[in-house]
Amino acid sequence: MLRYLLRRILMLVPILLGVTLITFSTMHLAPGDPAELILRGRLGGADPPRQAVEELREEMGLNIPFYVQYGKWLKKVIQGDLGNSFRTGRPVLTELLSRFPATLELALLSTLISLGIAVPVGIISAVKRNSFLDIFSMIGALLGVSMPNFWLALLLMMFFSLKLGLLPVAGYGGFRYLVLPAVTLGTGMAAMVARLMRSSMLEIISQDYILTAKAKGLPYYRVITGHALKNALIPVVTYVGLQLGWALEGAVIVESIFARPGIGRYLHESVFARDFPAIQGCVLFFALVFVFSNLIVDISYAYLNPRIRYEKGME
Amino acid sequence: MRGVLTGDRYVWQKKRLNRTFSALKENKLAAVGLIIISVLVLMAVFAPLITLRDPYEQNLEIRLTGSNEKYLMGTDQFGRCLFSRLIYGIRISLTTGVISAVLTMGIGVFTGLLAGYFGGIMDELIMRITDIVLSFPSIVLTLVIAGVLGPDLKNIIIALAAVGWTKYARVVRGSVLSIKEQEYVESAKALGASDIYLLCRHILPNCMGPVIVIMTLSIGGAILSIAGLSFLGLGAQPPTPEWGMMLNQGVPFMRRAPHLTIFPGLAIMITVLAFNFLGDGLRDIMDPRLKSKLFQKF
Repeated sequence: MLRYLLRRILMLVPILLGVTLITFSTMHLAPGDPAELILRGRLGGADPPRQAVEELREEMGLNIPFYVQYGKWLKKVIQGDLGNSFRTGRPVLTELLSRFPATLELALLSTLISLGIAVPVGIISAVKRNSFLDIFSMIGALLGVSMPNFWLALLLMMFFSLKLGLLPVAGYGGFRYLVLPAVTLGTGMAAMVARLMRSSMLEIISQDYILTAKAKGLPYYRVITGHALKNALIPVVTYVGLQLGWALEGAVIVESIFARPGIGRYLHESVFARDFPAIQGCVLFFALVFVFSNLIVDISYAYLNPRIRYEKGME
Repeated sequence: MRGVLTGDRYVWQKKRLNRTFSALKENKLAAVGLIIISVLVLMAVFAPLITLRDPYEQNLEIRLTGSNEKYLMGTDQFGRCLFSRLIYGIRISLTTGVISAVLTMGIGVFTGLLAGYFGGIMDELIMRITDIVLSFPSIVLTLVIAGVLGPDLKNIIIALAAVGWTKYARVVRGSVLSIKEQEYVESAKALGASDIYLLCRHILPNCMGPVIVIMTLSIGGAILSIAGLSFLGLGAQPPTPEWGMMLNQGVPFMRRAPHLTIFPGLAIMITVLAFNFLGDGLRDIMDPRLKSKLFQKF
């Protein structure tokens, strides 16, 4: 088990290095000078003098080759320093940490909502296969997959905030501010999970041991909840890791719409401002969360499914 | 020898194509998708005939009016006809979506062929990059690349391709690895066929099945991503009638003119839905192993 874990963690290193290297090189090979942009901002849009741009480039360390910059950045990251934001001058790590709770609660609640909808819907669709309910909910799932989440966000905002006045339009605060963003993300994810839950359940209930359980005279709901559900949930559990990744992806758009001070919105703002250290920090953060949630899923998956555990020699 | 092979292949491919079409007729959702897409294409081509007004023509006196007898879907914040803008928007969404999907597919198939056929260092390098990109939420990378390149529709297409090629590369590489061991490839090689001939004539056509399925499924996703990034201000710029950007521009007027929020979103959803219907159907037909069994009774 320890060896498996160690190997999995070691495999994460090249991924993290690769992702940060890709962003780093894109940023530095792309046209547009961040130093000039910052000065332009300070001067209120006027063209900054050449001299000043050069000085700021020097100060920001933009004049050395990018692989040296990357090496320097990496060395500092290992020491826990993500650099300072070009825009605010504050350490990127502090900025990320202060925004983390807003994104975390959004990701968790939306994942909960999606599972809360998708698991029962998927089970019922599979058990009552080809019934009206099944067709209805699977069309709903296709609609959900095809619906732009930014549009759903705006529709929810229009209906619940502007028309009914039940929830705040946007902003950050208590639970009331979290509801609409989480529902937006959660329903979108639910669409995908419901389809997965249904097909996985369908596969399980056609197996022999379910027939045996039925032949034993067990009530059907006990067959489903007691025998089928556990196995049918396995692929769904793996999905939860990917889902957290999606929640983070969605956070970029949803946080921007609902003006939540989370990491997704921070990334969006930083991209517009060409705030390289901040972009780099966000990417690293997303990558870390994503690979570690996948790692946790992999481990729990092996626990849930003994077939895999033995195959990989984890015992 | 070659003639016989070609003839056989021709008949076989024609059979497969016929089978695909008749299966498409059976699969009602896929057929619905195909019909919607055809209608959209016709509307895009004949946009000047369908609409009465120039999508760019401003008229500030009648800004933000709702649906009325003169303006089917009302007007936007500059008094432009929303219906005209939506119809012209089909052109933008369909072309960018298809171009982005084809470009992504092209890069992915090319790299996949290289990796699978030649192996060695090239294979290692391509597959490691693929691993890295696929193990990361794609929109974050796309957003960063598109944002750094600058707000432009063209840059979004580049960014989507830069991230998306990996899924094709992996699939194509896998197919190539198994195809190149087949006897007909071996015998063609023994007859002295060049690498390029082998790749283009024997290997490529045989790994296109799953590629076409992935591509159809990904057009919807591409349209959705382009609209989303445009919504975030990274794609199309005003006054282009692009749906995502139109949605974004409508946000400040949500209370006064909700039609600016409702219609462009509806347009995006219908288009994406049509491509998803078709893609799902094609997958069921062309690749029974992937069959989702979702809509068997439809």
